[in-house]
Amino acid sequence: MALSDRLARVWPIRERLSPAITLARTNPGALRAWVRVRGAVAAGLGEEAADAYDTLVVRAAQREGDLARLLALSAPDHLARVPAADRLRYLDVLTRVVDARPAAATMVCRILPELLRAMDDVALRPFLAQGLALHASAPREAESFLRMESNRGVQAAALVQRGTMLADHLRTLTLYARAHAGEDVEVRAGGQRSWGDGHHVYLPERVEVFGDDRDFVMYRVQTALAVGHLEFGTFALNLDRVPGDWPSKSGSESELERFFRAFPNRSLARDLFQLLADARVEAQVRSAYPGLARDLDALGPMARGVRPEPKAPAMRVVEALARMIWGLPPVTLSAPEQRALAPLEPMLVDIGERTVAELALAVARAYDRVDALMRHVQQGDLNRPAEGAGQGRAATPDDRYTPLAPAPTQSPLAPEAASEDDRALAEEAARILEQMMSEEEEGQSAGSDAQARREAKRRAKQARTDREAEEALLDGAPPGGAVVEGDDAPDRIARSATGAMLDPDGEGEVRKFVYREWDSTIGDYKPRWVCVEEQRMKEGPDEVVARIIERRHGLIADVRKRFSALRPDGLVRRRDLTDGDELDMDRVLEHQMDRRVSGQGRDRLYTRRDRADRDVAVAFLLDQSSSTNESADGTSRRIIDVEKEALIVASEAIDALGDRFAIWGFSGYSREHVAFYVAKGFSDAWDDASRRRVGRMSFRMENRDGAAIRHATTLLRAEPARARILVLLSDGKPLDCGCDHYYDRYAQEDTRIALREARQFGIRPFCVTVDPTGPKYLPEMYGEVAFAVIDRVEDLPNRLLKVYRRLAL
Amino acid sequence: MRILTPPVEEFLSDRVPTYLAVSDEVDVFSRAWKAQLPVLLKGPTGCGKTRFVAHMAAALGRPLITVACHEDLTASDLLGRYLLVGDETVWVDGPLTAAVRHGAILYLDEVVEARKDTLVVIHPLTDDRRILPIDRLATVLHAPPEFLMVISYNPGYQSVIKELKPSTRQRFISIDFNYPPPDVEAKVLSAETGLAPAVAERLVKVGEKIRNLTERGLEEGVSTRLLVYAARLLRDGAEPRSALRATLTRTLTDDRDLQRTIQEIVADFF
Repeated sequence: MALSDRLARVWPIRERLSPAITLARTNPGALRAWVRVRGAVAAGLGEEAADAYDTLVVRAAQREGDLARLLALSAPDHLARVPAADRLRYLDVLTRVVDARPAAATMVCRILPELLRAMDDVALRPFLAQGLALHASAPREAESFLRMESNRGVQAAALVQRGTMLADHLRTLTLYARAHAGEDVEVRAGGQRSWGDGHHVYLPERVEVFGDDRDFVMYRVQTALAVGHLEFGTFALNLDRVPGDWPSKSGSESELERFFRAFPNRSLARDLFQLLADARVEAQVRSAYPGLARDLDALGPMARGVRPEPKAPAMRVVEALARMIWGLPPVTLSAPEQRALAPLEPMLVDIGERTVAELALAVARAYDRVDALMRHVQQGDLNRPAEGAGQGRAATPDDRYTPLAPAPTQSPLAPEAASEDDRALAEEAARILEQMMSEEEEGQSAGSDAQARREAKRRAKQARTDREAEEALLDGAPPGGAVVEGDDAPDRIARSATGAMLDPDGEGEVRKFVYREWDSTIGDYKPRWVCVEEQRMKEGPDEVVARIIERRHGLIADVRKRFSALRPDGLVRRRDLTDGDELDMDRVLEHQMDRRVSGQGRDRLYTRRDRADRDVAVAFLLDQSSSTNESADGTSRRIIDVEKEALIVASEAIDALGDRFAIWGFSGYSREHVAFYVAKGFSDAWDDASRRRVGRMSFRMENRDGAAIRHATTLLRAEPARARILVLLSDGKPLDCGCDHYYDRYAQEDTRIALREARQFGIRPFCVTVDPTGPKYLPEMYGEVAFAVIDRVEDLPNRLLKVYRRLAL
Repeated sequence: MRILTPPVEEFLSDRVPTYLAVSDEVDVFSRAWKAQLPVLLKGPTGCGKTRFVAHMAAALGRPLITVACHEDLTASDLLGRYLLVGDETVWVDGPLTAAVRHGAILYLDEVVEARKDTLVVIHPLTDDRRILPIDRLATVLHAPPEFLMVISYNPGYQSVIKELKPSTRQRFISIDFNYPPPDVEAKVLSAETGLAPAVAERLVKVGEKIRNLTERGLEEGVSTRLLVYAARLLRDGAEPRSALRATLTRTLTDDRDLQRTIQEIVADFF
């Protein structure tokens, strides 16, 4: 197909061709890349983003042709990681970088998604400027600066961004929310403020009210109040139980949406309902959590933000209600304004005891009076009496009413933001709840309302999980090691790339396993996210192993001797014990003779039969990523070679000792192809074939440590040993850039969580990292798991033996 | 040859330890004892299993012999062994043998911790034979009707190894234990420590919220026993947040984020 035809198919509109013309003039390669990707950008991210993308590519082309091609190809990929609301921001910032320092653009293109998440514009601008200035003299330093990995970067970031960042506390707050709600609430970054869609809790990305520790207290209060809407059932409104004329239910809309739809001026109805619902939840939270009430009071009026002084009567009434609820200095109201407010005031007494339906009814009754105030302003007649409820809800233009500025403690209800997926789940839960209620009438108690709601939701989720597992089975991926939970269907952005990866190292049947992955940016698991493909390693040539054995001949002979001396054989009878199962007749005789002769007896008279089975299963998990191709200590030997050597030596020792062991390797590309090689299974003998398999292990592609650790955990759990040990041999850089961005903090956190899971299953993980520089993030990544950093690679074989002695002997 | 058996008085309690029943467990246990059926108590750590057995033994007026099981426990540790006393060889009964002789309640705590080959010695006692063969004494003891075998086990452990074999398990009737409901648990805390009921209720709420984190990062929920420890410190006037940090937060987990969360939950109530 001719290029012009393809263009015409992608954009029928002529004006859109102007980027194409610019690109065709400057760089045909960039044009080709742009044509290939542009349609997908528009389809996936929308026309607005696509326009911004055009601008970016064109600007880059004007600067440097090849840059345009690179950005045209890679920017959309990184853009896919940016939340929808931030995509224009991404393209805008990147375009400015192209203008200011084109040489840094590709690097910024990769890092920017994380930066956008970590900083708002106010902080980002000076930080980026510093990074770009640094780039002029030291490009590599600039990258670690902008990634906030170097000390300088961390300090600069701390200077530009004050306050408390959600990213730093996401897990703590998520767990906190779950403890409160008693269900798997998901906490997400919600931009400037906290809000809720009835399914998830959104928190501001940064809190900077006080500039000290109280900002975290603020976060905690916001979490408790936002979760409170779920915990105390704001979204469980059932309009059929509220007297009044309500619009009939349409599609998958929630009850709250249906409620708001009943009012011509939705903003006003929302504000009134929001204030009452927040007040009700706050009262409930205060009584349920007295410590939190005290902390909230200690924050003082600052927690409610700076209050505006509205002029329009309706807005003054709403503001007056807000201040009444929060105990702030009142708004002085005119008589008609006071009359409009009057029906709501009784609701505020013991509002914690009210039901959501009562609140809805009160809002419906007060709405007309407040709304009337606005119409009177329009008609210049402030003294006309307010009309009664339920009559003449004439349309009032929304633009006469500016919605209330929410206080930081408020958690705006945004049911319309719920995804179709969440809505379907909620409907299913509602159906189950109804069923439970009818069963209850038959005598089975479902406990409190909140408990019943939670249980219904749990069952709905379970049903869906089962359905998904079934579908996955039909897809051909056995859910053997899969842990299935959560609620997000995996998106398929990353399904491109190398689907049919030819694997020269594996042989025999490929077993597929699906695992979840920890996403530190959302503080939760992505269910069924990674596919591990387990295969047997082919045998390698003899020479590799022969060379290693020759090289380490002395050490191998030595460890075989030393370790076989430690080898126990079945049941052993231990003698000369002060306490045991049986008396040792020889010793008893000697004891009696000694006593007769010297009056002094002996005390070690007992024997005991001990089962001396070592009952240890150890697995070595070898990182076969391409980074292990780097040379060791500046010699000609590569890290992977030294690792293999250490594995062979350790295997000889463990074989001599008689412990059960396995050797696995992993590499792969993208989350759909994590290759997991079995060089020696637990049931394989340590023979020449196994040695040759280990000999074949070589550097391959990327490494996705979390998935490999999870699969190793699955395999180890099946081993019936008392002590199960997993030794991870890696270069300490979990990295899978296979188009879904497994690196940096994300990869480190997933590795940490996977190691923790292993520990929870009774496995003792130990990480041996070969990296002469010993990166700073290791303690963070390995968390509570023990690790050793080997800085002199040549030491590895000896160190690995020491590690094994410490762990298993 | 002399045979030494620890005197029965050592295993008798002169007072009945407090136990607040949650469900029908007292009734089920009494019936099992009368019917000579061995009992398996299932439940998480520190939810009151051991206290329940102590209570029942005292209430039924039976001596209670408790063995905390561990992996080095051998059959001889349970049955007994020969000792050399002066010129004489003496057989000293182990707890299992002593319990059979005294018609006591024998309680094997955390039974899965014991080696499987050790557990086989209890089999003949747990079916309708109710006998205890002791090869080394060349004798078979017949358990009197008052004898009762009770074992406890914590299904919360995720380890495959620490599961009870069906051949052992199916010799017992089972009573499920869990943390008591909030009102009972608050009464337990007050009764055990004399802590003011209002404070005890708050402490129980802390426990409830922490238990919401089980399987969400926490391996096992906070035990009633741990809450009793906390209650004891609070009763003695300790500063609440620091007392609960020591008794709950640090004990429950090494995970720093989780510790922080638990401490925030504590702050919600104290």
